[in-house]
Amino acid sequence: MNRNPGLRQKTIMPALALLALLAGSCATIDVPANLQSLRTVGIISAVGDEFTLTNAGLTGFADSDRHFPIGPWGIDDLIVTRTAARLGTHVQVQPVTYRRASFAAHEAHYPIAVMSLLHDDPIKELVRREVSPQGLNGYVVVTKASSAYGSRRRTIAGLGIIRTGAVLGSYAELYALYEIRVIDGREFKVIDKRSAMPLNSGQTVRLAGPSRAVDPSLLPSANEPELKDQLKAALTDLVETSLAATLQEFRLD
Amino acid sequence: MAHVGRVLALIIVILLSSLRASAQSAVTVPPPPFWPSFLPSLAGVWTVAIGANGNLQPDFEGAKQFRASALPIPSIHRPGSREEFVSPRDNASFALFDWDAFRAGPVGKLTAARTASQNTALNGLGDVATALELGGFAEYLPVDWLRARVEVRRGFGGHDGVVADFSADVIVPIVQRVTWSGGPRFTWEDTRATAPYFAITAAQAVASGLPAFDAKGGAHAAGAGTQLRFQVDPHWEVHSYVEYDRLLGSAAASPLVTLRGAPDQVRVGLGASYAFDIRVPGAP
Repeated sequence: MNRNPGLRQKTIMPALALLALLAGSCATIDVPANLQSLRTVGIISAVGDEFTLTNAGLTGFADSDRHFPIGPWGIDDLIVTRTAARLGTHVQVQPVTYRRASFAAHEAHYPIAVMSLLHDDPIKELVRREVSPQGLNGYVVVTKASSAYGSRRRTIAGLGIIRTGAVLGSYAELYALYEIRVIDGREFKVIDKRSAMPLNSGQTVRLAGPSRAVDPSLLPSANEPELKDQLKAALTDLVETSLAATLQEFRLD
Repeated sequence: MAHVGRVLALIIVILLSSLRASAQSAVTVPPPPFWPSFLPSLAGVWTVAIGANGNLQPDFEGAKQFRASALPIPSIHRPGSREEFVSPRDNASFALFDWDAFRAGPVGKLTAARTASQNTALNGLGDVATALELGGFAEYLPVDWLRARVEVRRGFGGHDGVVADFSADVIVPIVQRVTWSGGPRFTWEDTRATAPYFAITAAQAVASGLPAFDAKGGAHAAGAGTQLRFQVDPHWEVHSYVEYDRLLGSAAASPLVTLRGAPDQVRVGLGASYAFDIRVPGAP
């Protein structure tokens, strides 16, 4: 038996991070490169290809995620349009071509924690290799981000919904997890990178990015296996609302 | 029992302080001046949780008297990870290997020193120094509502034996904000981990009045535990737990337990924590 009450998990590394933060508050802040110097920009979005339905809580052993193609919903076009509108008038947005599937594959999950530290950001190389035209001042790249969820820290990414079964009822959380990089067009360095953040801290379900509770009746069922228009509207609104807040964090205009 | 009052007072103070704090949203803090490029960025939102846990537990392993204690609950993590299941029995650990339903990594535990002066039942038995136990853990969660975990640790200081803790929990969301969990527990210890606490040498027998006893390793304890978590609102969470163990083998047969203690060991706890977000702006 335990002779001493257990300690909470995972407090050591965050504590070191907090110490670094506190130390940082007393010193000069290293401001990222000025994004206002960008004159020609290409915008890439690879978030809206797929919608994932995840069952959580009281589930069967065989329950697995369901994936729905939602390319026709135009989420990526919406992101490109809204991002272009947010850029200042001094910025010339040029159309770019790229293979969306390459960018849509969200970052790999490494089974050994430190392995993720040893790999360079793959998006930089994708921009160098797969985006045309090259030679613009910069590229704004919107890709899927991920978040841990639930009792076993399951990883979810991109766009989707979590349906959690409980003894008394069920509930659903719609999410839009993405991150935005601004990549220098000559050296292909990441000038700035930010993840879309939770819309507010007053949510019962906490994810690492934007999410909101929705009525579980919006979810596909055996009788209605397709995604409903109300779900599309709710997702579009979540992306638009969170994108405006995230882009505000960049000094793009 | 004065400790119990202090623990309850601490929890009440934290609860009252929330009346002001709950209205606050994410606090922005400046990024550090330097951050190694090979480490993940600190930028983004972090959830900070602070709180306290009050425990009532046997004064020492095998005791029939209880003592109260309080522990702080410090935690900093990315949003979304707070719902990860943590049992009161879990010791401090880090999931170095994390693949789907399986996780493993290092684990550590600090067992406080047992002094002869802390309880009259220990008179004449001498002191046992603080023990640091280091080892590894592995856990498997095939579904959200079921977890099996094992910790194997080797002691340094108070004992230099090997301890293995086995546990399983079902994790049942009753409603969105209330989760119940519980399941069986089992502990195995070798002789070197058991003897410092339960063996009685000839000299100790003379000094304590207890018969000499040669403690051996093996099945050490079996029991069950249960926990209830209630997320009051997006910031506040309260939880309580009960852990029961029945000492087995040499631990149960030791005269320290049979004559001055009890083989039934119960530990109860009540805690509350307050979580809030901080936002770290900055480049990657």
